[in-house]
Amino acid sequence: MYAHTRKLLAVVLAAGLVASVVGAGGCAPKAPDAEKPAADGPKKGGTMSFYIGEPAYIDPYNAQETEGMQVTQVLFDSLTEFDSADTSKILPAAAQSWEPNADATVWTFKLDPDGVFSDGTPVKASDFVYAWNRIANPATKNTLTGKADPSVISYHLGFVKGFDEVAGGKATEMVGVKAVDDLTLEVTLKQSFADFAYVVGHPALAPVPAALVASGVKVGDKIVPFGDMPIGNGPFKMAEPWAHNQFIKVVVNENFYGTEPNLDGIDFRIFKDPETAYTEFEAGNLDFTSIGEGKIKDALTKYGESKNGYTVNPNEQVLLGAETATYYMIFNMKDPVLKNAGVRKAISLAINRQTICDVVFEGTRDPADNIVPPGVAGYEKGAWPDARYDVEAARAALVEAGFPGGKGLPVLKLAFNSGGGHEKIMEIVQADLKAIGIETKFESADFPVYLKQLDEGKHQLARLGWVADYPVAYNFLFPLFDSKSGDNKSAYSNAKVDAAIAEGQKILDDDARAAAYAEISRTIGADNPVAPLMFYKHLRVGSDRLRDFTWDAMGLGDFTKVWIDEPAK
Amino acid sequence: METGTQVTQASRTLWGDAWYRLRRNRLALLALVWLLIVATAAITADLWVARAFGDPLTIDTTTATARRLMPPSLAHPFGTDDVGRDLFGRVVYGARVSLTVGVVATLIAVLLGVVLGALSSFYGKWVDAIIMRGTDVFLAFPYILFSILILAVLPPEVRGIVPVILAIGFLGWPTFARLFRGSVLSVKENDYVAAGRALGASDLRLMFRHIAPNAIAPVLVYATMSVGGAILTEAALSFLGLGIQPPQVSWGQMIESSRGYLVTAPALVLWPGLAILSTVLAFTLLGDGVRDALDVKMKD
Amino acid sequence: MLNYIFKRLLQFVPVFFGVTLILFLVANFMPGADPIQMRLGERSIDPALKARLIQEYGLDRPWHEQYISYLGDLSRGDLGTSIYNGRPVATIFAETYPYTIRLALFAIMIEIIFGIAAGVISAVKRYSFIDVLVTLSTSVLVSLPVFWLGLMLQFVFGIWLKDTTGGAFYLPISGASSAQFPDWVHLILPGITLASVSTAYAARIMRSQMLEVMNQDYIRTARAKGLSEKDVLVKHSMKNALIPVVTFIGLDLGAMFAGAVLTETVFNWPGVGFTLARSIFQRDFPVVFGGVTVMLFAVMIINLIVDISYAFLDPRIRYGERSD
Repeated sequence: MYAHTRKLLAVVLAAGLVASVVGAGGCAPKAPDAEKPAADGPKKGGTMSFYIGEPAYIDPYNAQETEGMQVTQVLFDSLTEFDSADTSKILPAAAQSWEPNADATVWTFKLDPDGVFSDGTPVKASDFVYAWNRIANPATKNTLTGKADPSVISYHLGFVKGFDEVAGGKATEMVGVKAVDDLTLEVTLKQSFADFAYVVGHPALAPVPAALVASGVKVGDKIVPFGDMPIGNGPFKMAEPWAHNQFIKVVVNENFYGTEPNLDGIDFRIFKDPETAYTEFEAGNLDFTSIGEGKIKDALTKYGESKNGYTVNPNEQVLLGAETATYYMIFNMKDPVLKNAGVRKAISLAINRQTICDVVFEGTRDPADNIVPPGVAGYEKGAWPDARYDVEAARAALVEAGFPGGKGLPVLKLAFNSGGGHEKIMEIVQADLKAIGIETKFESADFPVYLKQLDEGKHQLARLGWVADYPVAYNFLFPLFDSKSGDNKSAYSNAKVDAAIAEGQKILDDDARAAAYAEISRTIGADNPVAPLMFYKHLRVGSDRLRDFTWDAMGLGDFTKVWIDEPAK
Repeated sequence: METGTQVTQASRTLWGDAWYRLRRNRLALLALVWLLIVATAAITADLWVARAFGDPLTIDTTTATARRLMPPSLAHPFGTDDVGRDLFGRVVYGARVSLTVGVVATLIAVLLGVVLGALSSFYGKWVDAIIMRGTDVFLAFPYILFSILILAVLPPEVRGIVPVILAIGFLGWPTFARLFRGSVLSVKENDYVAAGRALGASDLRLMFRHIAPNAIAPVLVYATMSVGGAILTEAALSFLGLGIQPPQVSWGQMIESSRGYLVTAPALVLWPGLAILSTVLAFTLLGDGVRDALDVKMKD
Repeated sequence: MLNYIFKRLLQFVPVFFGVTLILFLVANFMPGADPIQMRLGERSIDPALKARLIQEYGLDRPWHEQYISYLGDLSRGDLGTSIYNGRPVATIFAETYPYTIRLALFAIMIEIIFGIAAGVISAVKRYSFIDVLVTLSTSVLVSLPVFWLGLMLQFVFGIWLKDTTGGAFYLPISGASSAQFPDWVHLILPGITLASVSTAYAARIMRSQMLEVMNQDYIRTARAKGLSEKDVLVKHSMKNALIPVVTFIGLDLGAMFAGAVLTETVFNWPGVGFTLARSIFQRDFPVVFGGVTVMLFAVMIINLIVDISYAFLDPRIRYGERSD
């Protein structure tokens, strides 16, 4: 019933819209005809305005945070891209096709022959070689300062043969990356890595024109450093240099080899906080923004929920689709108390995840039942048996662990970074643990201090979030649980798991590989090295001008399909 | 010594007169009454708040969803917050933190300032020069930024009310030092001090018996107003996420954590703000009253 | 006069070294923080790479070496680069300072107009309803938490007004510019917020000064001479009562040039206060040091200009002769 009403409303709205457009032209509109043009599909033109925070970098060599990646991904095309309709799939982008050898150690990419940078120079395999060495080489200079400013995301290329030599300063070019000819890129890896085609979909691994990095980009009679005016091979190009803290304007790249976008351009408008952006959105000055805490219900009534959670259309404007990211508590397994598997199990079972999702996030996050989130190949529902709320089971686990009713347990430190909105979540965790007899004490610190403490292993219980770089389970299981990984802050160490994670990369079949990792996740879950709390969801909203704008699970927008239709005012 | 006794008597009547004048200032009296109410509520909070309105400090995770953002009612005079706790109770508990920070931080600032101001005025020369350049340095630094820095120095294990008090108290001394130095210098000019010195009174004795009691009035006035100022600073620091950490409640922190509800539930921001306003206003009015009563001229 | 300026500049030297030294000491004693790791947040950076970046920024050197190299760089006009995003600190503040200045000037304008007017009216109509209103509202204004006032103004003028007028009339509540409003409209709410406390103080000072001046002999003489009440007020009372107010406003302008952390945070104003506060949170030391340096110079210059302008306002002040 509700859906019907809404559909009807949409039709009425569309009709009204066309009527007004026609009306403006001076003709009396006829109702039946009026509906037709709306159904004709995408209109060309218009500029979409899009909220981002001030990016750290838009130069791909250091593109990492969500802010910068929004811009980088419209300016550049990497070898592959994640399918915005189902992010666990990849599509060709700068590469037309690719082929691994039998043990997934050598990958050959065939580039699209029409690929050009927005200045007209063709994209060659050597541009990838240059871009990737630029990332690996710690002597790489920041074009804005001329000072050495190594890429902090060189880990993307960690498996490439010759990476260690370049990272260690012993070489400047990775032996594993070769331009066989202008259109063939051959990458040799140190070990089998069947997920590599996903890795190269990351926006940071895009081709970069070496000459312009060195010389800067000419704008009028000024030379602007590449970092403020990157020239890429993507569907859009910079309209003017980055106006820091204000906006980044991009327009259609008429030289783009792929599908031409419907938009004329995108204004990435920079705001310091999402609250402000949201008010600008409500004032009609922004087309896409995030929704702040406490405004979700209001937004849903005003703007309506998107059907698939990812695509904006009039009256289906609020996006609540799952993101490929997990919020979790870590246990320091080197701690004498948390070494005890029963204590970890009890803590995990005691946390009322649904309440956190309902109260703090007004139902816009999902309780986590796995460390691997949905939308990632290898997710399996309920794979972690103790990632649920069951007070009785939690009490029983404590008894089994030798601390009935929490007796004999010291006060545990509950650490988190302040200023990130974690206080309320932690207050709920604290109340839940108290309910089964576990006393905790908050220890919050500014983010850089907190990160240092985690690094030094000074924590007991702490919070973290993990966002996928590539939508594969490996991207969660290896960094978080491999005994040698720097991101394994639980100090989880299981030789069998280590071996299984590496072994899985020899399976070339995507589905079989995903199944193998699902199994590994289950094994890890039985040990509770972390307690997954929530899966992040989008909290975004688009304006009623937008049609078919998809903001996918990886948090990247599909700016080629979207079109703009001014609603009737 | 005779002069000394006279001075003490004179100052006794000075305070007596002041108290008389203060009692006749209706606004100041009203402010005093309000502060007493707030202080009593805060001190006795453990006895009645939880019993009357439910525990405002801990979240009941089983009922939070049903009880969040309830409108005002008899059971919850200000309604409930976004995690289902009684808002009125939280405001009452917030008074504890605010008043403690306000009073203790001001005491620290007064103590530091008076000692340094006394040293500076009494010894003059290089002592004076160093201390006064010190006040220059401290006052050249934007106050809020400096407190953010100080709080950042403290290790996370001690986060909470103590560092906030220390930071605010530590940064408040220069004004008191200058104020006290100035009034000591003017008192020092008086005949009775010269007489005391001629009679061979020691420095310390002179300072404590003769100079300080007469120079303290402006400090007292400024201190009363400063309590309000310290409460505002605490609120500001908590608003920036640096002050009081949960499960302790402070008004500034309540505002910070419900800023996102400004559109949908403005009461969450309104009440703690009104609590700050009314308390600080009371200290301001009381300070005005004390100033008029003591007949102190200040630059405002 | 030149002598005086020189003396003031000399006074700035110990302040500069005092503030920067304290800053470096404070930074040195901060508990273990990892500013480099801020670049990737929760995803750890390879230890070798981190070590290299730490070396790049000189974070591994003892504080006094860092201080000396900071002074050296400063003398060459180099403020360093941000740890967080590798941008030159000078550029960061060149972008943010214009916003801070614009907001400060607007707030000072409010302060001058409303502060002085309220003070004068209140003094002239002593004990009237207006006087009581002014006195009470100045007490309220100085007791308001600035950030809360900002939020309430946002609620009333940005949210409530918009809802009641159906979106026909409201004020922008964030940022320095938008497609919808001219830039100066964006100044209104943050300007009022920033000016609130100081306007109240200015009004109080103006009022008490006016009352004092109006009781003095020369005013009585002027009245006795038969000058009109308006002439007495404008030519004699106000001019003399203005000096302390101007002193106050001048100092306040200096303080505003240091940025307004709270107002800028509430209204998302891209100024120096917010930038500095954020850099402290991120432990982005080069930005903090550079920002404070720029700010010290800015405040010094403003204070100097204000001081010099007194000389024109009040010919009795001869700077060369002042003893302090």
